[in-house]
Amino acid sequence: MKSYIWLQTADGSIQQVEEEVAMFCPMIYQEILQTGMGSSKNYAISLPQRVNPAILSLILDYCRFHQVPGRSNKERKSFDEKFIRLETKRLCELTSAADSLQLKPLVDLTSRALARMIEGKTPEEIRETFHLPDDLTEEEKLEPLRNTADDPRIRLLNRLYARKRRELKDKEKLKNVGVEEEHVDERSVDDLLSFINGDNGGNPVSDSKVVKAAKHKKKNRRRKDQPRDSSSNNVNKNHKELDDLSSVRCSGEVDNILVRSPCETSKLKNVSDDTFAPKAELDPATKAELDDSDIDDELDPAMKEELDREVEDFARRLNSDWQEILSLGQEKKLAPISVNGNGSLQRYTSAFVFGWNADNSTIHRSAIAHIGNGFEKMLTQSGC
Amino acid sequence: MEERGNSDELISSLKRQKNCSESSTKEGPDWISGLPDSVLIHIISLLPMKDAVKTGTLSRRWDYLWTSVQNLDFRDPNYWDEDVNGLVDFINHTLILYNGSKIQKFQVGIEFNDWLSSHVDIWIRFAIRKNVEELDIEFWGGEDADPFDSDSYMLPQYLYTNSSFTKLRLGFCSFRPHGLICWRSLKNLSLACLQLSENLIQDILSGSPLLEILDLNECSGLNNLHITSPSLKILIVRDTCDIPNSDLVLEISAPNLKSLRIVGFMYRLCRVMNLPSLIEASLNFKVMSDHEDRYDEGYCKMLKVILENLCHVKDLTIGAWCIQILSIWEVKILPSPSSKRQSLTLDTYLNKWDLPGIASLLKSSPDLETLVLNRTSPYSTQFQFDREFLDAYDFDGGNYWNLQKPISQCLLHHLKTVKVIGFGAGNHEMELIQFLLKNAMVLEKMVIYTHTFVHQIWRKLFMPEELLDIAQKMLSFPRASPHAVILFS
Repeated sequence: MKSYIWLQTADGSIQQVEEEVAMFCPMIYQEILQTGMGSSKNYAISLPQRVNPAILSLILDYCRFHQVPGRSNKERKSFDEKFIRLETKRLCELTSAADSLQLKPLVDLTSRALARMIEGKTPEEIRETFHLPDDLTEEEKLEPLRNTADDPRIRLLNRLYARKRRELKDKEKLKNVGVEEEHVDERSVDDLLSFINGDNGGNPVSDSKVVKAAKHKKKNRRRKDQPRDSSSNNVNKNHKELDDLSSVRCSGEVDNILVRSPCETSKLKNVSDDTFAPKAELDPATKAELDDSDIDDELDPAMKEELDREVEDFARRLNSDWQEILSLGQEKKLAPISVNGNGSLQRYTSAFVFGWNADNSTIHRSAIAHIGNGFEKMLTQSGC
Repeated sequence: MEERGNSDELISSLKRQKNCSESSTKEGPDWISGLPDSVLIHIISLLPMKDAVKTGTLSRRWDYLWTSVQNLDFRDPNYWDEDVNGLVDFINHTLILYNGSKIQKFQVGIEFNDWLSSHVDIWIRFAIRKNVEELDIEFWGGEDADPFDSDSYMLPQYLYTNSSFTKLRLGFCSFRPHGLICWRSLKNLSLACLQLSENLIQDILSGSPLLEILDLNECSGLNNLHITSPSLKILIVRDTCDIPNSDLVLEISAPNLKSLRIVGFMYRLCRVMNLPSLIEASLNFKVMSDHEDRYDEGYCKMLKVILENLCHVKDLTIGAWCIQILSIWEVKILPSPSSKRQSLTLDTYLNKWDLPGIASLLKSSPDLETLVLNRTSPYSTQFQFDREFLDAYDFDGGNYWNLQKPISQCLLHHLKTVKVIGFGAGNHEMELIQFLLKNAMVLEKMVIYTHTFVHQIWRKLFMPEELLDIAQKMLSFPRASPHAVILFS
């Protein structure tokens, strides 16, 4: 003898449902237990207002399927996937009704479906999907995000841009490598620096600190710049397997150029610096100086002042000492390393990529086209 | 100046007009905003943080809902390395605006830079103040980044004695507790690319009395895992990347363990022992060889010992590399250790050189009731057979199953269910299915799943007409069991 429970929806209509199906809803279950209602037509359980007859039948379908104990997880999942294919209005009503009946698994299911409809969309798209009124003023839309990065077209453009720049960078590297082959100086950076410092009573402490910090940053930079080889980079792979994140990162796309906020333009230019500063082949001393430039981002103004001073000192020393070093150490001629006329180079220290002829100590002006104050000062002081 | 002022006014009034007209001409009422706050917050909590915060700009109803969300997931698969600044700013701003009293999940994935340390400290402190239960902090470095560098993030000491964690996931940072570890509520621990030691593992286990799942992903410093923790049920081990050295062995023993999974590339041999409570085991690994010399002997022996020690395991999953090692064993006509397993899952694409291994497994599983062929496993890595071996032991793959005599015990008496996941209608699969149908006397159902998981989505492989052909062909195979049913899904 099957047992039935009587349910009444807000519009007054009453229907009867198999007991085990109805009991699947915690709210109904509670009602039956606490008040004993539902056993006959006159004592039908009143369902919350948010449950209309159409939605109720949907909910009962859900309960009817899931209350059967023998089903496999795969079957349940399959049912859920089909069940959830409803239009937006229905989905919202279903969520609301399931919530009022405290049917948590169904609330979860519908919430996930709604979340999927929200994820990845722009606010305008979401408003359109759900017919939301755009009633916030621009100021009230406090969004701790950069708005412009969300448009997938801009993202794609950025990616293409980044790829192009990287190709250009690689081409530069190849070109410069050919030129610099002969200029390897075996002495270590520290050696040279201490030589210079020792001679002129420079500031060894700050120098070493600056150089050390530069080394760290250089290491980090190298990590980012090199292309990602997905086969050996098991770490990323594992993380992805673990997290089920997509493998977009393997392509190593970078550089949100178009949309950069002012404070980040300087960082961007650091990347371009690498183009003009081929790593292995420069004089180690100038390389150390270049490393300093890389860390300018993260240094506060006080450090920047100090660096300015260092740079001045160093350039002065370079002028006088380098001739000696060169004639002592190497017979090779340093070919001019000219900077490609990229007008966006604003970091003054990057202008250390200058060339000079072995027989005179003048610095090529061509390399110094767009420089900040520090370097100009230095130039005038060293009398070029 | 005045002009600009005027134009500003004009723009804002236009906007207001636009808003009014929009809400009146929008089709359909706003159903979703009618849901109660708790439900909306629940929906928002299912979104990654970037999307969650965006909902604050949707409409007045949604204005500050996201600030009560309990899941803060800042991991972003579309995140680019150069964007570290942006992500850090985003996280900081979000935390300032956050208004919830309790955080359930706090998840961050970011590329490590030195200057990040102070920020990450604050984030962790924030999350812990809100009694976070699931903390996920994963860093990554670039191509040549060394996780065992002192450069990586040093986890704060108060992290090691937190009592609200139930799930903790740490990746690519410095794990150096100064005192005892005390994670009273921790159930699930996942450590990736950390420098550990056996003592450290012991400390972790003794400080986590409720720990059930331990996932060691490419952690260094572990030569053996002798785990006596009574609570630990599941152990997943992925060996660290290193120069292959077949003289080294990773030993695993855990008397109370219920499930063991060894996955990925091993750079050393592996030994398991003393696992009396083990119910489920998964051998999805590949041992990298350190020299060109043939090392089949060593691998065969290793796998044989492992299988012997796992003979009582009820549910065994075995990957392509291991199956192929077993194939070597089988073609040399060496006996395989008998087992009590009831369920066998083959994680392999199914190549010709898997067949002898599968035959060997069938022979050694007389009580087998369920057989699963999973062709969609991401772990399928092949063994490198050398030419000599292949020439010496070659056989006809097409005819292999017909020559299998005597028929394995399991087929005669126990095999009830066969599943093929990611069915591709290849020759080997059809032949195997034909063989099973012909000989499995008590088979009840054979389920063929034709969808395959490729590039993160499930894809259908066949058109309905093709499927019909395949189905007809299969139904025409002679069946030993009168009750057998073939299901397509």
